[in-house]
Amino acid sequence: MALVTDDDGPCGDLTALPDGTILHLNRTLAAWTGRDQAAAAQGLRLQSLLTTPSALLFETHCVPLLQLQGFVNEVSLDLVNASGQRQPVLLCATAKRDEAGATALLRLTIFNAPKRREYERELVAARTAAEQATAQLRIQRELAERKVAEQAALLRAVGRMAAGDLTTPITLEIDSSLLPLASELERLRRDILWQIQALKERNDEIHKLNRELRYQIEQRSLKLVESLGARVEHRAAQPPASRPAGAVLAGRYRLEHVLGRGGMATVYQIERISDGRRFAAKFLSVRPDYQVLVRFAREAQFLARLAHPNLINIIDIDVTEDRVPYIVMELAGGRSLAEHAPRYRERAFVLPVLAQIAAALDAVHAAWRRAPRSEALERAALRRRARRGGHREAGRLRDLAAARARRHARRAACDPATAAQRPQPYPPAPDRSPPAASRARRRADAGRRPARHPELHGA
Amino acid sequence: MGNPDRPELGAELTANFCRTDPEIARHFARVTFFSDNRADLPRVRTPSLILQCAADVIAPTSVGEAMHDALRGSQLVRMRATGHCPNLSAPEETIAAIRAFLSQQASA
Ligand SMILES: Nc1ncnc2c1ncn2[C@@H]1O[C@H](COP(=O)(O)OP(=O)(O)OP(=O)(O)O)[C@@H](O)[C@H]1O
Ligand SMILES: [Mg+2]
Repeated sequence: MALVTDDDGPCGDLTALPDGTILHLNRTLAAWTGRDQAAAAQGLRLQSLLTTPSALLFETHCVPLLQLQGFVNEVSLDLVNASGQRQPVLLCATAKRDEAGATALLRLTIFNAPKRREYERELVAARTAAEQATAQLRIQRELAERKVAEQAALLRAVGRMAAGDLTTPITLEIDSSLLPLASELERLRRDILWQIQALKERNDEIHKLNRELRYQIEQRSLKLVESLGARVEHRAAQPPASRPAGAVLAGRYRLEHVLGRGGMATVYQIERISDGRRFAAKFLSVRPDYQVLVRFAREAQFLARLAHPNLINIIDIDVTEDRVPYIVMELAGGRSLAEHAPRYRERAFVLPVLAQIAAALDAVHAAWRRAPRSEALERAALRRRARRGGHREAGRLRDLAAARARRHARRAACDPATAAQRPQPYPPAPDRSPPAASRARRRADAGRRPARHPELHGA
Repeated sequence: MGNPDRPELGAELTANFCRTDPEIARHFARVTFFSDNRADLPRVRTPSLILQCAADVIAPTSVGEAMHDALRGSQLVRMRATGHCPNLSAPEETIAAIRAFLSQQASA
């Protein structure tokens, strides 16, 4: 039986000088690398048995370590044979030192390790896959978090918009998945902003037009009284007691039916032919002497100055073909305050009504204080004074105005019903008695004649 | 080691050298093996010394010679030391070569 030596054992074995020059390699390693064992004698270096990457690793990693610590273990390398075939191996090496401590010899043991390499590759692949999956997860989590944050930002933006802030732009990162939604909201915001702007401008425009219209009505009522007043003295006739339904006024309004009758006027519902809108037309119903005309025109003039949500708006003033002046105004909807009489003691009903009446009165009084002393009325008063030879009438005209304001305040305080009607800037025609007596009579009237209670609108 | 009375310092340094952080090694390899600065060499004005080892698988003698040609006024020293890390494998020879170069530069 042949003696067993380590020369053909299961491991490669190699002895070399510190620079890698091979002194001896066993038969196993010679077979693995396809070299002659005699090659050792030809000055072959162990680096030449390795692939280039393995040679690099050996030079830069193993040599310094052998120098420093005297050994390396389990270094994964590739051998290469003469025909270029590679073989994965594990290297263990030690450095033998001389007495001075300098490296004298390198001793290398090399294990065949293809299975292990394969296993390591699988491990590396599995780890890489795991790392990629983790990275993917992280990216997805970041995306999800970002999306949540963006949704929150959008919700905040919508909240801002809902709270009325239309000036802060709605923005998101350019690459956001919610960008279309954000752009849509932003468009909406700009749209609303623009519409509000347009509405404001239109509103301003309408306000200007309204002011202009009011001014014209005021002027027209003055002119009317001027022109009518001169003629009325000699050919004033009693206006008709009733007007036929369907009669057309100035080609613009169609008469419908009577809404109510007052001390000096009858009020009809009319239809504006151009757009079918309903209005109320108040026709003078008493024989028009000069003073009646002035009052009527004064009412129109005064109404033209007032614009308040609790007051009726005047639309027009004109004269019929039979020379009866009339005022066109908003139609008061709703029910008369008189119809609510059973509820007069209900606080919840009366308080808001009173508040509206007070607001309306306030507007009336403010306008009254603001009102410039009308030149035309002044002139009219002067003319009358000249005719009658006294100062009393002109004084009375102005005093009446003041007395009216005071009386309205009192009336509003004791009777919520009366004040809801648009107050007239002149006293009712029959009011000729002293104040105390008139007040007493009015109180009696209030109990006796609920029909005199005016419409309640806006309540 | 400069501190013979404290051998643990030497051991720590050795351990540091022996540790190979795979991330750093990968980064190092990428920078080292994928950069090519040959075109920059003619622009170098710094006096330089090229230490060329014998039997260096990474940088064979042809590399040292090419460097010497490209680096103006450089000096090429062929060392007896082999491999790629003469500072570790042959510190005396390496130090002597650097000293000689520096004193020559100082007197020039
Ligand atoms: N704008 C209106 N919309 C609906 N109905 C109205 C409107 N104006 C007046 N009326 C109705 O016409 C009636 C008479 O109106 P108003 O009181 O203004 O006339 P008047 O002649 O001034 O009466 P008085 O001299 O007694 O105050 C009112 O009681 C009311 O029923
Ligand atoms: Mg009236």
